[in-house]
Amino acid sequence: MKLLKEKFLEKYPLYPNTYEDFMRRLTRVKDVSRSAGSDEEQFERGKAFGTVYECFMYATMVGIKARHQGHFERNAAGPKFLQIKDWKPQPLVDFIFMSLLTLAKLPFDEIEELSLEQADEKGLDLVKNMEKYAAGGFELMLAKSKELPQFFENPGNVVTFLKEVVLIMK
Amino acid sequence: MRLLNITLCNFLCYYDNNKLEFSDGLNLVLGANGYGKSKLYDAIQWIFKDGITDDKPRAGGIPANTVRKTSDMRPEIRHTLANERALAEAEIGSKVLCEVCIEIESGHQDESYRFVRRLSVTKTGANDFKADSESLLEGYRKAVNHFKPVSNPVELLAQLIPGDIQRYVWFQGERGINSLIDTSSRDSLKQVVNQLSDVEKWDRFIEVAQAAYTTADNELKQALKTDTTRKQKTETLQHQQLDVQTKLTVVETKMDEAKQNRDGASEKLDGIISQLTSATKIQALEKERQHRERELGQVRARIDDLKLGFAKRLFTDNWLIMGAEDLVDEFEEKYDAYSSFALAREAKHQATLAQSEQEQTRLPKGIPDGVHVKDMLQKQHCLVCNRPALKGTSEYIAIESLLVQNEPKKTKLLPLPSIELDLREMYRHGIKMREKATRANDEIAAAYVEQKQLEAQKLLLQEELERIIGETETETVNSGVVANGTAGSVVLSIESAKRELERYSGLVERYSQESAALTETLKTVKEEFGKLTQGSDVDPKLLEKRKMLSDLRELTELTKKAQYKKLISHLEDTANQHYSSINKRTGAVYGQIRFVYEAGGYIPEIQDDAGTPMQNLNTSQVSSFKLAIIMAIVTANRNRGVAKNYPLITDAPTSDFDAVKTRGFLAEAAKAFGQSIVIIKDFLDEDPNEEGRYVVDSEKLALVKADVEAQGKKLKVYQLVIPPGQSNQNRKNLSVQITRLAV
Repeated sequence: MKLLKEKFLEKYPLYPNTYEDFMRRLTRVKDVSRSAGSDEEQFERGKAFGTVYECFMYATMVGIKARHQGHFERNAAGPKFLQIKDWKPQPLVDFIFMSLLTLAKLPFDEIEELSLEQADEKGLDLVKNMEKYAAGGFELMLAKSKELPQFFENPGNVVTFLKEVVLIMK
Repeated sequence: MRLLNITLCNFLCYYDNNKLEFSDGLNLVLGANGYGKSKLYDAIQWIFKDGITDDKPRAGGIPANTVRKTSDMRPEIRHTLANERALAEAEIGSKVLCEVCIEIESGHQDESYRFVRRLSVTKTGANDFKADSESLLEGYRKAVNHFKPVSNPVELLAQLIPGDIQRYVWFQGERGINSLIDTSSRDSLKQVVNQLSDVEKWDRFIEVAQAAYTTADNELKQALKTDTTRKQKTETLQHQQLDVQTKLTVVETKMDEAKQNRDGASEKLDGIISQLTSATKIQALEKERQHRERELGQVRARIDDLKLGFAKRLFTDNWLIMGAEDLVDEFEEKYDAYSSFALAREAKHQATLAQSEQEQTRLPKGIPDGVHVKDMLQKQHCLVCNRPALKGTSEYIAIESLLVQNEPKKTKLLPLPSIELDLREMYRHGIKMREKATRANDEIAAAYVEQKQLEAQKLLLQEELERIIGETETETVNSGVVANGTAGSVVLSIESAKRELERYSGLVERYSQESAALTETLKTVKEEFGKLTQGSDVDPKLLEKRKMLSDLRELTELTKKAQYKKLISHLEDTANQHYSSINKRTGAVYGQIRFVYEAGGYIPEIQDDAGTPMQNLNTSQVSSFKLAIIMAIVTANRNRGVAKNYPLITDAPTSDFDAVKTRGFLAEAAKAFGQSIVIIKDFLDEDPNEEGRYVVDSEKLALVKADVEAQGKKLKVYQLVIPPGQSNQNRKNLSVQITRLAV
């Protein structure tokens, strides 16, 4: 199990390149720490997510909550971003790992004694599964954004949307 | 005179060609702030005065809101008369023509004219422009179906509307109204009355009567001199009278000067004292504004933090997993299944082990332990029967077979599954996270409540700030004290004005005493003259003549006074009609205008029903008071027909009025003037669908139409519009359009 998690944390997840622009709209991709406060910089500063992985984690959780996976081919991915082991905060990463293990069609006894190769293979499977949930999450977010174009520009709405997803599920 | 139309081409905010057709009756142009209202008024001014209103004071003591001529503009800014968008779009090296064209009907024999003023601007670089040093005016007279150039367009314009009329019928905003009528000065009304009437001719009658009296008086004195017994005395008295009269004239002149100076000093002191109050108030308002701005900044920052915090707390407070608590249950199920599986496997394993042990303890009787069997094989000697058992012999093989039988069965031992601990740890973590997730709803609700409270606080602070800024602006406009003026300098000015007042008051006192003494002496001299005529042989007709001319002089003076009073009274009545029409529908107490005689002149004031001057008038009351007087100046002299013959053109005259009062003014303007062109920001509401855009309040406009039609006049309405996708913040892409509205 430790080896499996280790291998999972070593991976670089990807997301569909079709969501790259959308993701950039929600994520601070420029350095605003030394900004003088131009309109563009203020807009940048006001984005909901500070990093790409935060946006990815959010999309993943949206997909997981809705139990909705999107279509994703790893060869049609957007730019590479941070390795999972560098994601913060750790408790949330652990929760996502737990969720993925729960949702995977993989009994726990099959992950008891894994060789290095097996652990790597299964770790990648978990990441691929996570990527599909993230793609599903992005799909739902984009649909909302088409309905209300400025919706995600208000950071408060990312919380509202999460609650909406929960309600839809119910 | 009537304005038929105006065309603006690349003039200020008007890009390309924009045309307005004017009609008789009320022409209303509606535009929100920043939509080009004043620029439209400027276009008319540019034609007639070759200048636009400069809202800033300039070097050389030129006050703000003075019309600045094109040629007086600094060369580096003269090009700003041309439209910024047209300049931005022009190729480098090309010219942009800024042009205003007006067509006018003179009112005499159906004559009409066209005037065009142009300024050419050359684009010399991406952001560099060079405008001609002065604008060019062309005039044309309409002949049947075409226009013929005229040689003297400037003189022609001046003839079409004389300057003394133009200033009362064309004015811009509150400041324009203030500059026309100064309610604190006696001269303001005097000038108006002189302009309104022929009252000045009575001054000439008085002069003639005075001259005739002086002649008759001299004649009488001359006759007295022929009487030798009285000659000496007459001459002495004559000299004495001349001497006293001269001294009296000098003293009275000095006294008049001193009085004027004293009044000036008094007004100055009053002004400064009111400025001190205003400066103190403005300073307090300024402090309050800074304080509120700081507070508002903090609240805004907190709201921004809170909004951003919503997204941050998804991660820091684990709100992200809110609604995913069921995953922990699902994990638990899977974990249970695995635990059951692991337990079953462990049980099986234990059973296998037990069986193996059992098999090992069931070795045949008399068979030694394996260790002894191995020893026997090594020594090739059976220790049980104490006989040799050499390798390869049947004995050796028999011993060896014991060894195989004696070896315990090897059962593979499975290790206890190590992931049990990991799964347990993972489950514990899941439980902990679930607890946090269940708290998220309350935390989010609390954050929303805080945000709502802050938004409400922000709104209150914004309203408060608007109030403070409005009050500061009103105080600044009314007092003339600039917002950053210091009270200290005002105090110094008060001391100096007080000293000045004391000095002139002292002089007035001194000259009054001197004048009184000289008047007394003169009276005595005149009495002496009277005594001389008694019993003399002077022709009684001369005495009669002097008496009659003295009466005539007095009569002319009284007549002038009566005439003046009648004019003032007529002006007062007319002003009150306008004042009442403007205010009556507001429901507020507005009093009535009275021209009060005070120290040699009339001063207008508003009195209540008991005839007491109303105090603490608000800016709206003061504006309607002045506006009514200005309208009265124009309409009181019906013989001159100013209101009938010249259009009223005004920009933002009602900026201090509410909608009801504005309607009152518009109805009154429509009633009084043959043609009026009124540019205002009223009757527009913010478009709820688009920020920074305005829609017309049709209901209110329908009421205006009814008011205008009730006066037998027509209403035409235009709206100044900024096309979609443009903003008055970006003037390089701005083209204000003039749209005719159907009312």
